[in-house]
Amino acid sequence: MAKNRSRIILAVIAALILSIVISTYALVKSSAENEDYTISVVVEDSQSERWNSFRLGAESAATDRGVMIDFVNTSGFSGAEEELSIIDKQIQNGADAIVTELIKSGGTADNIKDISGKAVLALTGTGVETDVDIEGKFATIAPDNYQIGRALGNEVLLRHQTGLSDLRIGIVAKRMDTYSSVDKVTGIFDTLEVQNGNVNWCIILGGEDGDDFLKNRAGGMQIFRNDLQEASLSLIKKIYRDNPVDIIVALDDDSLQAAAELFGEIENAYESNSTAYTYKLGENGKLLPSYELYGEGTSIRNISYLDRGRIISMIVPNEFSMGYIAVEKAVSKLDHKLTSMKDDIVEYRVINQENMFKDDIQKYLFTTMQ
Amino acid sequence: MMTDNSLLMLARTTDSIEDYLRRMRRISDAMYYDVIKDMDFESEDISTEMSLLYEANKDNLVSFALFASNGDLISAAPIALKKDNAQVPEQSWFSTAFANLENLHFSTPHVQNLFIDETDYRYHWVISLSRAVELNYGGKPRMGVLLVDMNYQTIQQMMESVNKLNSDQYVYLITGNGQLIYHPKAEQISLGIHNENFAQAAGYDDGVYEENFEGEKRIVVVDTVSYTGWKLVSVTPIKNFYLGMQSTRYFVILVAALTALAMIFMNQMVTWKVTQPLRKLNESIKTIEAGKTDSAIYIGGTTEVEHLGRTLQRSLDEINRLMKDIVIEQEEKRKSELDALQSQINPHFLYNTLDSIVWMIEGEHYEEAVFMITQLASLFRVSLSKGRTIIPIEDELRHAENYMNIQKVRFKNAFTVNYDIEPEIKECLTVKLIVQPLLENAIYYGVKNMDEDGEITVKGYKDGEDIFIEVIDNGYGIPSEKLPYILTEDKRASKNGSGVGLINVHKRIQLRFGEEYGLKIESEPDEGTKVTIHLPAIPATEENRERLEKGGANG
Repeated sequence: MAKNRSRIILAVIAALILSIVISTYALVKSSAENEDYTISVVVEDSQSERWNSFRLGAESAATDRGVMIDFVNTSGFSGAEEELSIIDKQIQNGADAIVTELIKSGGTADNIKDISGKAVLALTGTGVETDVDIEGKFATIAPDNYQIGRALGNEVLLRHQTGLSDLRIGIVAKRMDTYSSVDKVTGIFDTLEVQNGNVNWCIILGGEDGDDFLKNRAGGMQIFRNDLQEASLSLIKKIYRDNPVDIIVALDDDSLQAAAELFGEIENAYESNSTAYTYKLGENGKLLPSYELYGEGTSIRNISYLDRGRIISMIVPNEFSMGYIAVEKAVSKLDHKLTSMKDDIVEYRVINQENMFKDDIQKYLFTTMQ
Repeated sequence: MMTDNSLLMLARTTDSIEDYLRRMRRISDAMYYDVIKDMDFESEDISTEMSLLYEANKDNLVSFALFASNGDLISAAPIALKKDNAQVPEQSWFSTAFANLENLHFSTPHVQNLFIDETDYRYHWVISLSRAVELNYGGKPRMGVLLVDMNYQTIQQMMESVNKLNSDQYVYLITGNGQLIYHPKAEQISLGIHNENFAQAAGYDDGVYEENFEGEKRIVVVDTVSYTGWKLVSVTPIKNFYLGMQSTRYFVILVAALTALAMIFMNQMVTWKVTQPLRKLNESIKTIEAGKTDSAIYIGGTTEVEHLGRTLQRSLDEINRLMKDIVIEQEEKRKSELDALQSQINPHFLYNTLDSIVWMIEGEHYEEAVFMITQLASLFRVSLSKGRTIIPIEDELRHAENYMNIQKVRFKNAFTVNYDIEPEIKECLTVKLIVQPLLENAIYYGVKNMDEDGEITVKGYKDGEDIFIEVIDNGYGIPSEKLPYILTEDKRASKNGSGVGLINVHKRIQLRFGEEYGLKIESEPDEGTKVTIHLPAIPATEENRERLEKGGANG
């Protein structure tokens, strides 16, 4: 009898403890749903308008998932070390996750291992050199850069269906240190079937790598580096003046903007009757761009240059999506630490003067914040 | 409650939007009826009036523009250049204005694609308010389109302020045919990350609806913006109604469970405090029940329990005392029984001996008669031993010898007796009259009726701290089936006098020296019997004797 009584009391106590544990867990969980994770976004020159869509995407995901986001204020990086040290500082300051677009892809395996060991890591824009990531501790969210290169090549081919043999081509890249740049150039060269001598020059505005790759792909191509640390426009202007080309393909937003601004310089020279350039006039006597400009861009400035006809065709990756997915993946990883992160590919669109104000394209191109 | 709030909030927002749109219509009306209608465009320039009206309302406007029916720009405020590639007639606000000449038309939000500013790289999201207007060119009417590009940010800010109120509840704005004007997650929707059922919402009349969208139940409140037919839709997921309630429920469960646990704990504490003395009392009683009658009863706890303990202890003491009395009484009784048994033998023996003596005197065997009487006297002296029960083994053996001497005469030396006694055992103590009954047995049931010469051997020796006295005869022996019962009360031993004597001796030794001592009988039919007396070796001092007299080997 006494034994039965003890058993009943023990059962009641066990049931009560169980309900305490469950209700405490439920209470903690309901409050933990709004846990304040901090996600730091580290990208080069973060105040540049080229990040507007990316930033809006990242912030929208942060709002949707109820996390704090810190879009770290940065200027141009002197090198990969500076970017990595900022990331390290953010982790030390308590960042739970890092969303970053690294400016260098090679030799980063140890850094990635180190960062992903301390915080959740979402890489954007470009792939980087990493060890095998069995645990899925980081992920890369980027467009298919090779296909972007191919799309740029196709845009050139569309307007020159008779062939490129008589045309001079120049390439402008901010850096050739990332896999994304290499993939884009490979895509362009594959599509244009570039052989030795087809591409006149390539201007690399910064960074240190890429010469070997470019020489291997197109041996006769001249490579110009910004050894004097000049402004991008000034360098492009100088090289174009000495080595004019018919087509310029810019690999990124900064290069595209600088290449588009080159036409402003040519306009000025024309107005001041300078003979530095060969001018191209339209039927109404209006000065036309003396080179066709193609490239990848995202900023409103480049959209505007496209609108004004300085850029023939522009590839626009879905930066909103890239920012959104990167933060979304980081938060999911923070919420479910055992779930591995998986890479994602974001879309891109080919925009030109004709389609840029179409209903779906304008929603893609102009965020309401702009 | 929440629905009421939604209705109220929605009504306020609708009012704000209506008010804003009304103002925009008034601006358009003012421009048309007060300026355009009074103007001859052949000779007059509208730009000054347009700029004035723009300046007065520029907070909510992006631009004013008046276009000819072919899409050429007549005037704009702020002053701007029309883009070469603007293709105005193809823009929807333009064609809509001509589609219905009487009305004002509000477009969906779009990026303004009209002007170019070499110094400004901005693009504006606008809602175009367009209307077909009649322009007076020197008395000849021409058609044109007056465009008021409203700043989309104004509507956006109105909607954002509403959506800041609650993170789960949100409000969006669509046209009457379900085209999106504002949604807090417009970008996510265009990317396909988020979905909204605009088509269904566009079909709703004003009111409250419960719908299931993508597996989520939600309350949808719809209010229509007058003139435009735009619908303001408030969406509240039903789980939102229960969210706060759920946390409260968990909290109540937690508090209730904690309270119940605390009560059980306190209850157990009090119960333990009350029952602990009773448990101890119970445990002590259990110990006693297990046989440890000398353990103490627990006395403690509350007054009642203490009283109970004391009463039980007194009862136990009384029981113990009574038990001891009973044991003593029983022992006394046993002793008296033994004495009675002992006294039963003596008269018979005495009668036989005296009969033998009489027979000897009658036969004039005086010397033998004297010997018999002397032996008898010695036998009785040892028997009496001044009333002592414990005597030296030497006296006991002498008593046995006296007895055997008498019996040998009586039985005419029908048997022989051998003594093999170690002298040292003679100085030890024994219970008196233990050898004689064994000898009596050996004679009467062993060698008395033998055809051959009977032989009885009495052997005494010491082995360590023990003394052994063996009475061995070569008589008929005891049947093996009876042997195990000889020293018991069992009837199977068929006691006809012999057994009684042996049991008597066995129990007397055990009573005095302990259970490990007593008799051991070994017998083989037709071979003989050996009865061994096992005693402790206790030196024959007066002190030891007195101790044994009082109680036994231990007492």
